[in-house]
Amino acid sequence: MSLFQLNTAAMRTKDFKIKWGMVIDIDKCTGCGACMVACQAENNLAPEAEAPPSDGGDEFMSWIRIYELSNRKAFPHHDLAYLPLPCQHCATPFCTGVCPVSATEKTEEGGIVSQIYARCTGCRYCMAACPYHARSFNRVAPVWPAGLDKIISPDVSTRPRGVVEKCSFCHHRFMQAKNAARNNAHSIYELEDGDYNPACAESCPNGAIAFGDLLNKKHRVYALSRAKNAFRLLERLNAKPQVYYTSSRDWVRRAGDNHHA
Amino acid sequence: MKRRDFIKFAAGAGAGFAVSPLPYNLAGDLAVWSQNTTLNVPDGENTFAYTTSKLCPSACGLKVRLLDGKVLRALPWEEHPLGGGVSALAIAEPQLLHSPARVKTPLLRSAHGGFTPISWTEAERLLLRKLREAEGDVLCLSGDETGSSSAVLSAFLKGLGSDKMYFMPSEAQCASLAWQMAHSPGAGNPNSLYKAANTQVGFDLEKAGFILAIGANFLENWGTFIRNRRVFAQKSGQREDNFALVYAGPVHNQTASAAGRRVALKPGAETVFCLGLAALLVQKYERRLNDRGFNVIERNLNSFTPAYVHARAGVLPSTLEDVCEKLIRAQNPLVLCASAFNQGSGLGPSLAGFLLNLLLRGPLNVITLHTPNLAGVKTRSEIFRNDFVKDLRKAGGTLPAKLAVFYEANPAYALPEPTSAAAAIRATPFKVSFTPFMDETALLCDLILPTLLGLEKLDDIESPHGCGKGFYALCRPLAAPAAGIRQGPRHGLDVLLETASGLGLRLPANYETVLKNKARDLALNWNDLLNGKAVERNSPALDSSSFSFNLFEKLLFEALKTEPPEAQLSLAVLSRCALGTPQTGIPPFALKTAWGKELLGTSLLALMNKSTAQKFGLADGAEITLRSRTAELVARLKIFEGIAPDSVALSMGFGHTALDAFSRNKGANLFDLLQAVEEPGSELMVWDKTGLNIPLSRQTTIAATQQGDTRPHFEPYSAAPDVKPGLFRRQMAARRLTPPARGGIHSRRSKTWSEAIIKRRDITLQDGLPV
Repeated sequence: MSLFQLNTAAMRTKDFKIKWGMVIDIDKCTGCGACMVACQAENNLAPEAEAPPSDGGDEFMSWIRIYELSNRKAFPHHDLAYLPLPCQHCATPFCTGVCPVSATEKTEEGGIVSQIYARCTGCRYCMAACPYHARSFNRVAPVWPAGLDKIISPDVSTRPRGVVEKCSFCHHRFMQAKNAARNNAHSIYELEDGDYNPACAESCPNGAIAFGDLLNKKHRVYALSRAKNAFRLLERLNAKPQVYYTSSRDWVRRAGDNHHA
Repeated sequence: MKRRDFIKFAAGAGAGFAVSPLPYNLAGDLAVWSQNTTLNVPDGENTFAYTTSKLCPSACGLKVRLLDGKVLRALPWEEHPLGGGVSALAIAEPQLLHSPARVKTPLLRSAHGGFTPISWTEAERLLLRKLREAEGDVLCLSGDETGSSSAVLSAFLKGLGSDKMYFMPSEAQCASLAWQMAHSPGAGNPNSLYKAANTQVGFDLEKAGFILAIGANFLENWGTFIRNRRVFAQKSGQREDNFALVYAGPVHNQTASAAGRRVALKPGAETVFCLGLAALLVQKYERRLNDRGFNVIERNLNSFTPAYVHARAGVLPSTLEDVCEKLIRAQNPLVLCASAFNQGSGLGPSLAGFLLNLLLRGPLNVITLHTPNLAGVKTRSEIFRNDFVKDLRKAGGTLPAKLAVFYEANPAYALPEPTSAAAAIRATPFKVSFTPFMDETALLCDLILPTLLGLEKLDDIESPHGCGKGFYALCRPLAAPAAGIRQGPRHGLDVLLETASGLGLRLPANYETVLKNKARDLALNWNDLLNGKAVERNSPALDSSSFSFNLFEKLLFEALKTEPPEAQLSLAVLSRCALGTPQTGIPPFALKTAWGKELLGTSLLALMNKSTAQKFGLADGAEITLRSRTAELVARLKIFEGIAPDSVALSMGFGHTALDAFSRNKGANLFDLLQAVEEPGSELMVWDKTGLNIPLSRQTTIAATQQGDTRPHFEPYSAAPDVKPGLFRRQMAARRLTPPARGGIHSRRSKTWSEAIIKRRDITLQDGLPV
């Protein structure tokens, strides 16, 4: 039994009646970057005047990153695919268990892994634990130069230096959707497909990102996540992410479980 | 004091301290300080407005979120005829309103070479005087193809006695010229190269059951690419059996990654591949056109055998036949043949694409364009006939006029051989730039007049290249001009129109009147348009009998005589909409998307496959010098197998020497390598086939580059050190410079610190000038 399996055995899978999840069609993604830009605008990520490191890295402040996968064959048999990677919101998250101050938890109905900046002490255990490198650390205070702070969104707090941040599935939009449901006397547990949609899924011009309740048959992601070609990243770690990917290409699905690494 | 008393006192003091709030407050303050809060988020009332993006070339629909009346976000407007998502550039539009590179006030070049802010009245007076002095020797280069601005500018020039109205080169120009040349409604003059029809081709993607993109980066930057993506998403989402997207090109770009099938081509071989397919259609499937001129085309096509196509384009005969069969079997197949970077391809690819579409009866429409009714106005099609690159070459070292007006155009960055273009601009007596951003061209001008962005101004968008039906929409001021922009006329062109009245020209008083008259002529409700309504107008399907094959044949096969230059490597270009336009530079948000294949630190990445790299003895990560006929460029090698052998791919959009810190000092400008040559037949300038060599002695060539680099390296904002060594060191430096706050550690102090840092990085123009 591997160390990871031991770890996961010790951790309990968090089950909810609603599981917000994403299904990303890799065959449709062209790596245009619209999701990354929309995410930054929606979640108040400060712009950086320096080009990001070629491999991403911890200081690369982006909640969703687009990785390029290659089938590692020579021309003309080469093929590539783009893999947008937000926080996977695992059902058995590695990050929550290691947080000494409960700054990251998976407790709310919907299964979104939270990140509470006011509690975070910046120990970065969660970053070490996350097998998907979905977290970023504010090594310095984010800065909005020259009036770019004029488009800071009121929905999301800005983060101080010294805390870890990550994708929240645009949690503020979840709250807005719940408020709208309450105002219309609908149940907050029966949101319609599309009532709650994160910025990345909303902006994708190719319709590659679908979002919804993975357990609700009326939602598009229900069928998509159970389709033949659906898979999750590093499934053997048993983290049970709530982000699914689909691809009709075998090598992409194999790469998803890191057999290439 | 006795020892016991001291212990009592110390214990008492300790106990007192412990029960006092002091330690807890201090600890609290420390915790707050350690989490140095940055900015407080604003709050206000949310409203939404609908508009069309003027900045994004795809003219996608935007649902704009306003917070207390201020533009906050650009969201997708699904119901828009050209919408369906939102491009990375359009999302950044609200951010670009506050870009550090915005020009905020009219600027006049002073005697010492810098710029002095002047008032709008002074600017208009100066412009009027200079226009009088130029005595009609004026040219205008516009970067706005879709708006009515070009009509106003052309009428203005005509009034002054000049015909020199140009657009920045683009795929739209190539397609329009090919269309005009081939399309002849009624009995035209067969000797005339171009027919006067003010129409353009419409690509009815919605009807297409099979799309073959040859060279055209269909999903990223070709035509109305957001609509293209919506069509692709819908059709592939419905799993239509008949629908397929096939991409043929030299490099595995965005379209290739979503295409069901890819065909690798040698760079610049799009036309040959297209004609190879046409030859098969004619010979194997007996597809013909009822036109007298078609016999000549057929004769010419005989030489495009699969073996010839294999030799020229690198496509196997079996692949060619397979693709041809798919095209024959598909329902409404549509072929898009264009340059991969949307310019410089000449007439060849467009004509070959037309021919293939006619043989396949592809879903093409005829879109009628509407030109405002002004005295001496030129239609969009007529303006396209003026080739700026060619006239610039002819003028030899200067612009072809005494006075140049650049309207939202950046030729000093985005023309082939930009060094020569910059030198020509500098050598021209007087030049004016109407620009929202302090770009490379603006820095060379004598007078800079700020224009507003699409979310701030009233302007129109008519039928962008690639749309299927006639399209018309307005963009309107949703935001007050960004902070610091000195209020002037409502539209940049209002300055020209006021000047026109001073010169005694009979033109409308302002730009709004032009737009209102145009809406009236189109029978559209002005208020509906102001509310964001985007109109699609009926456009008839193309009747192939209106094509004139006499000229068609001559130009198409002549165009093929442009041989790629003899060189070790062929250049393939990668381009991505997120990286902005030549005018905007890289939007601040978008820089984070540039990792992996485009940029490594400040070096541009050159992609080459392993076998090619091994030929030159190069390893991954090596610094290489690429030399074209015009210039040299230093890049870092990245092994990438998705590119044809003996080719190298570079990304467009980098290497700005002006604009802001998000665009400057990032990679190198690809345009430096491009050399324009004349296309046989049409005599249009083309630059889609570039040969590159890797010099043997790298050190020698680098030294030569430095010596030979005459391009001005402007440092307009050098007063503020905005290019910093690293985030952490930057922060440390800022902290050292901050005076210590008085009193205990308190959250307020933390805020002051962060504000100080923000101030330090507030690298901008104040009143349009560096501070």
